[in-house]
Amino acid sequence: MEIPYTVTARPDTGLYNAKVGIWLFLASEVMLFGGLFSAYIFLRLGATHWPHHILNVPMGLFNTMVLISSSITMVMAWSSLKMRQFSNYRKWLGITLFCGVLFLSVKSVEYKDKFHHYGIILNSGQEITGHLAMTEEEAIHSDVLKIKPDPENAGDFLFQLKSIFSKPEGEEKVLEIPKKEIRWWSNFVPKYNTYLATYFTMTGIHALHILGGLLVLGYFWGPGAALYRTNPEHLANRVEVAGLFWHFVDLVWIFLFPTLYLF
Amino acid sequence: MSEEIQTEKKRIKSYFIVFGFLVILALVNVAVSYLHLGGMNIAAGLVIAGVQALLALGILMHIFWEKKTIHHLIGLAILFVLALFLLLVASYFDSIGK
Amino acid sequence: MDSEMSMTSQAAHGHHEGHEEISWIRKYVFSTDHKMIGYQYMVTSLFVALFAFFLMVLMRWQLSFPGKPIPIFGPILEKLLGSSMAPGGVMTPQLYNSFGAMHGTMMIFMALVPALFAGFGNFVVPLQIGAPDMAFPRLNMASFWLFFVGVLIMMVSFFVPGGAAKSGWTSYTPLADFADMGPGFHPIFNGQTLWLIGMAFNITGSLLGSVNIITTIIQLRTKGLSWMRLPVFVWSELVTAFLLLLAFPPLESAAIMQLMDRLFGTSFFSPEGLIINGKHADISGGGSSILWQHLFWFLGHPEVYVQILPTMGIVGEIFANNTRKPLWSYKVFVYSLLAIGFLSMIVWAHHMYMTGMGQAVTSFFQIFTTIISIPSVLLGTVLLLSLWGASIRFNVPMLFALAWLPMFGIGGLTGLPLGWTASDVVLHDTYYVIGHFHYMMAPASLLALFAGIYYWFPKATGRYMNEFLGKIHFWPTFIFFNGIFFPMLVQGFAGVHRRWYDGGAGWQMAQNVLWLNQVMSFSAWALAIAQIPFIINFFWSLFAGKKVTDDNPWQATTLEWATPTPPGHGNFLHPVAVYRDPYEYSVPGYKQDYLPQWESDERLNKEGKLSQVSF
Repeated sequence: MEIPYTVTARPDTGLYNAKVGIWLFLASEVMLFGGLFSAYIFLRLGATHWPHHILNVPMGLFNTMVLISSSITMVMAWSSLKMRQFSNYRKWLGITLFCGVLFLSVKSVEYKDKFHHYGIILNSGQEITGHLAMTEEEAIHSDVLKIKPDPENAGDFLFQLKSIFSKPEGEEKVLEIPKKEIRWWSNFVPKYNTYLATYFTMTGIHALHILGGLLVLGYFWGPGAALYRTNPEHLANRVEVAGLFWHFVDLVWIFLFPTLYLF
Repeated sequence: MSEEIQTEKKRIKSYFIVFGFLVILALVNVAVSYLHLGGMNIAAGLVIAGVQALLALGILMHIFWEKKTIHHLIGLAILFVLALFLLLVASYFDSIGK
Repeated sequence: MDSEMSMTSQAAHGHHEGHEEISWIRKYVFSTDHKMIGYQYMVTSLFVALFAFFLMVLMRWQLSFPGKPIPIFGPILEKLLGSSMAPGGVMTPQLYNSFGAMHGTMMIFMALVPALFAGFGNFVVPLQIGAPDMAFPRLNMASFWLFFVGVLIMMVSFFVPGGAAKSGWTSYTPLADFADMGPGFHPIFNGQTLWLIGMAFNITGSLLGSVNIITTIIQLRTKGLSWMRLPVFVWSELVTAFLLLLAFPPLESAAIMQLMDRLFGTSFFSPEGLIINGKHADISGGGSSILWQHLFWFLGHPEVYVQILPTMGIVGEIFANNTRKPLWSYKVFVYSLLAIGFLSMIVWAHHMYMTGMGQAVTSFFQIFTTIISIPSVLLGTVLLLSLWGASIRFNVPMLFALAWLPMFGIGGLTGLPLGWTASDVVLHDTYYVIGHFHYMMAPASLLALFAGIYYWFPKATGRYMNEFLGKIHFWPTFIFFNGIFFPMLVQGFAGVHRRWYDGGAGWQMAQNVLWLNQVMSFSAWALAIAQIPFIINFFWSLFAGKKVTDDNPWQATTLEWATPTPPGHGNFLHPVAVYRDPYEYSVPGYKQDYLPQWESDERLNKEGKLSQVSF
């Protein structure tokens, strides 16, 4: 039994099955991220305070560039396959994979940075952010929190750029705050505030998509590429479909980056 | 088949032009976010991201050359996601006790 | 479950040409054949439906005889779930809540939708469009198994410490954010968390399934089967699949956010200053419980159409077949389906009139809620007028399909007062709401489900179901459905609240209508007994039912009847093409009163009568 139109296009729609399938899947993905973005909008509208430039913008920008590049290499990989240039296909897809891995590595560094960054909300409502001048263990048990507050220009592009490569130098004052003056404190994990909750949830789901994309693309770079010998057009279709997913994930990032890093 | 290859060769150039635009627009978007435009910051950012999305969708994902079935599908999704956004925002602003 | 199914398809095996030898496990368990997956969905969801109905049968005891031990089943509950849940066989409030929540969840997400959309959809749609299988057979298998794992997780959740989820099928926050947490509960293996995880599996399965159904309908229609020649059931499946595809993902993201709230302590749905058990909750706050309601009902409302649309398709098929004439207006039917599908996406907040929405937004939702009743009424009208002047064959599928019509009518019309704020304020959260939506989801959906089973059973198994047992099944089912749900409408007007375990003070004010509780409970138990003939009929007919002698036993016109009985792997023995509209019954000038879609004009004209189905 053969299922029709797996490789060739159906004449009246002009499409092969998997292309309809992937676009339907992407339509549902639009709604999935739509649900998350609508939550972001709804919560942000209701928020009394929303942090600005709290994430490392240079790192985010770098990751944006990585994903944009991977989009181009992805389409080039498919294009090479269409023109039956197999070695080019492997090369471009290899770069795409590299970009995906690079993106995830940078992302995990960003996550780790956040886990070492702390915020304190005083009973007065004032918020102090910075790094602990004590271990986490000590902080939990002590009655006083010792914290090196972030400098005023912590949101500046250049400051953030420098902080990637070196710890901020110079003497820093350490604030000592008794816990009874504190309403709420924690490191920058999802529960710290609504902003970080949306940040971790949205980028986390996005990262899972990247991971899924990498698995699929890795398969077509490795064992899946064997199909080239028997049916190169079928492989091209599969790569196109996987590529559409990859582009979509990049597209989501194009919106995630300004919403979470810049606004 | 060879015709398809010819059009594909022509498109490669457009892929790299799109790449250039996407990079520049990302830089512009970051730069704009450091200007103090008040509420316009978000609007500007969204417009820039929207243009980027259109380029990626249209050229890298081939929507501009795609069949109408695909246009209908993606149109439907965009329509309903906008309905979700708009109605949520509307019901946020129009609520008793606000 | 699988052993039962393997019997169903033993017959299917007979038709198999035998050139591909596949192992037993690939054929009956991890099958990629759309028909087997259809049976799997159907059998699993019928079992879940029976189970979820049973939960309600027990709850009805508590409502009729509050605080008394449940006879027979009480001790079993105590043994199974522990004495903290059912001490001395008495249902505790926690158990009542978790049975209520799970009844709703399982009935909607794991019984009716999988049976109507996925069960019939998988079995019937590829046959009706002349396709050899679904477009993505392996994806199809994955959808079923994701769904099945979801069902298992829900089932297991009854036995974790503290029992299954208790926050209603809607899982409203902030209640659901903090339910089943704290001492005595496992951080992950607790009712509400497992509910969310189970739903995530179920939703993912649904999404893949709807991708598959839509692709199949767009791409695999056979030669000549243009859009306006599609059987109405295929149309209803198409619209349903789009609703699932576009409405479910926001709920999936909401479920992920609720999981974040529960596992990582975020506050997506918890407001600032939340007090739990007299203490400030240790959370950052800043979330919104209204947000959950929006995202939930964005799915929740289309979901009711997901259930009712396939039943419209089934009823349409059976009406055309048994009235022996075309549907009164195919076009009106199809455009109504499309209009309902479209509008159902933008009416969701009529479930939320009590959340303090302003007048402009409520007006919007009231207007569209009222507008959506127009295509619904058109659809009912098409079916009603199809009966006009017909010489109806009153076989069992037709009886069930006919009974669907008034149930759909009552369910629809009782919904209108809930769509308008002025009347909804009074009726909200009363038994009136329960009565209203059950008329849609229980009598209407289930009657059509049974109609479909009786109708397609001969094609699936090669044997008829027994007519006499079918009628014994039909009449009490129809009567007792109304015995359960009509009194709810009455109680609702008297203000009886929908969720209370023993009525509390509310029952003091509703003394006049409390006797109806017994009426409803006895009807529910009678309804349970009335299903016994069906269960006997189903299994008996599988092995000993009257054999089908013709591939087209109902003299129908649509393509599923052009296959061998039961259809083998790949469905059609020869490529089929379509030459005409779907319901050409009683066309003047022909000897037979039906012109199958697959018969060409030349063939019919030349011979003056129809050739037999076998080519």
